[in-house]
Amino acid sequence: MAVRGRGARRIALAVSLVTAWVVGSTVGTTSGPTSARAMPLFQIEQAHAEHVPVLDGSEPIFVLLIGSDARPGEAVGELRADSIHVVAINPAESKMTIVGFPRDALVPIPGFGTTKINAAMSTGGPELLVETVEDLTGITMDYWALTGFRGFDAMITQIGGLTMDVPFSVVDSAAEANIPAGRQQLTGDDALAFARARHSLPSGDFGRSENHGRLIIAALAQLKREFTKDPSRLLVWIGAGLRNAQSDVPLDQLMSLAFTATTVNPKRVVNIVLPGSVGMSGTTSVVNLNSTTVEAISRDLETDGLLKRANIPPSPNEQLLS
Amino acid sequence: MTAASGRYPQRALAESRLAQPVVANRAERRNGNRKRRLPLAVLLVPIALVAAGIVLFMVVSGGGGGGLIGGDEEDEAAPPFDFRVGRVRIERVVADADTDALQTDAEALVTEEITPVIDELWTDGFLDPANWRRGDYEELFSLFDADAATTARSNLDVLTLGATAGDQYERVTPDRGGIAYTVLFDRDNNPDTVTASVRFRATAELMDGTFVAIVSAGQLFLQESDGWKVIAFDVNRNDRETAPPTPAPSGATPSATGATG
Repeated sequence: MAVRGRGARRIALAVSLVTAWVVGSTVGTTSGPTSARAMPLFQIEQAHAEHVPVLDGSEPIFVLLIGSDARPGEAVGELRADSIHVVAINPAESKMTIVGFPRDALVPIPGFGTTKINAAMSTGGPELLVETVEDLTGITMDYWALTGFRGFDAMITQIGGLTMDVPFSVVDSAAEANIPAGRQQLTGDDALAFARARHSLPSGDFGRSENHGRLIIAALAQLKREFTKDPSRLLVWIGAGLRNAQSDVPLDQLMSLAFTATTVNPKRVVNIVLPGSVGMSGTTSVVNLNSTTVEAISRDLETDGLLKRANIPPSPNEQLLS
Repeated sequence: MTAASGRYPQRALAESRLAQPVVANRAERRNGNRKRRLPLAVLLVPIALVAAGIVLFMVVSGGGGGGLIGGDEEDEAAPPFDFRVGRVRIERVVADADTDALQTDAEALVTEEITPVIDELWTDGFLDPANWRRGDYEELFSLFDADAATTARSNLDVLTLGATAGDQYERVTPDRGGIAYTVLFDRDNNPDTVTASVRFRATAELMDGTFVAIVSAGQLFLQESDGWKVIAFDVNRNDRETAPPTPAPSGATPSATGATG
């Protein structure tokens, strides 16, 4: 995909960001050339200028984030995908939507009949999973990125841990998770345990999928904070990401996406999981997606990467959050 | 600003004095050979016109053009300045890349290709009198990519000494500057993006004899596209009044002048 929206809108956004910064900064700051006698330059106490080459096109960007079930030593792209999320970025509005897919969702896999969505990757790699999600939603994915247990752990470790406001305690011996509620610094191991835990969640895998979205939002918030304080941290994040994940995103476009991500307000990111009902297919537990809801969400998301309030389903962890 | 201290005005004055022997020669020749009066007159008219034109041009051009009025900055060179390179970090995207080799590559890159760009950015923006006396920093923008250059043009007061600096400052001398780098290598272990964390300080003498510390700091992202260019920046300017440079011992320059990185 070509990087979208380079041009006047980007400039306008950059200029408006600078303007907003200047307007919001301390009294006595000046932003433009002034008469030498009326306003000597040395009276500029804290002048600031920035240019961030963010994407600002009107079309949304869709990235499929995949978490593989692969343990250390296993090929991440050849096993089941236990974490599947479409991240939609609206560059023009600097907004983001995260849509989780229950790993047990029963869906048609192109060329392989109807089975659990997590089997798509073990059958045909990340490319087949992308095709499956595209067929299910009717939305073309621009990029995909894939990591496994070890890669995810290492990624968090290499950025120095992840600060997260955990909304409820997560205790799951199977996932080696014992994470109290509250704002805290998660190590790579902690973050992985949080991502794996589902037994303490009333809605099981639905709730876990939403928690994956929480990790993405926490990462976004931290990237934004670090970038504001030290822009060179962006390279540390990109390095950690690419060393520990596979992706089809060219580096230059990843750089543009990363710059764009720094403009997104994490508090306004919408994080949902496709709703469905748990059922059985033979002896296997499966999730039957609500096809009408999936269609409505997909059509809404496709337009601008955003969801109308009416299309935002209740949180699967609602019981824990109330 | 003192008039007639530059070379060009002196040369113009000298040229105007050269006309006098011609007149004298003409007078001598007029007595000896009347046939030559007309050619000499024809010759003198354009010479006088040219001389008058030169004088007129020098008077009205003024400012940074090297005229008789305010012309002392002609041929005034930018003070020599080089940033001191601090730490150079590498970021690789290939997990098993040879980090020692990448470190060597990164250090060579920043020394040979990146630091000269940043030296030029701050020299063009803050130190070169040919730019700041006229408020013309056009050459600076070639160091940015197209989009970043557009933003840079609208932020002269941060990225340069300013559009009106020529009306305010008598001279600017660099004090010190340092850069720390991070170099991101791509999947082929080629340098892709460089961030430069820059700190710069200079001392400027205002027309009224007071001094200002020019303090500039920020981060630049550079990528290679027809040379290494700035694609993103976040720069702060934090000037403040400062004490005059400490007088140096006899025969030496003041402490604020001529210092580098």
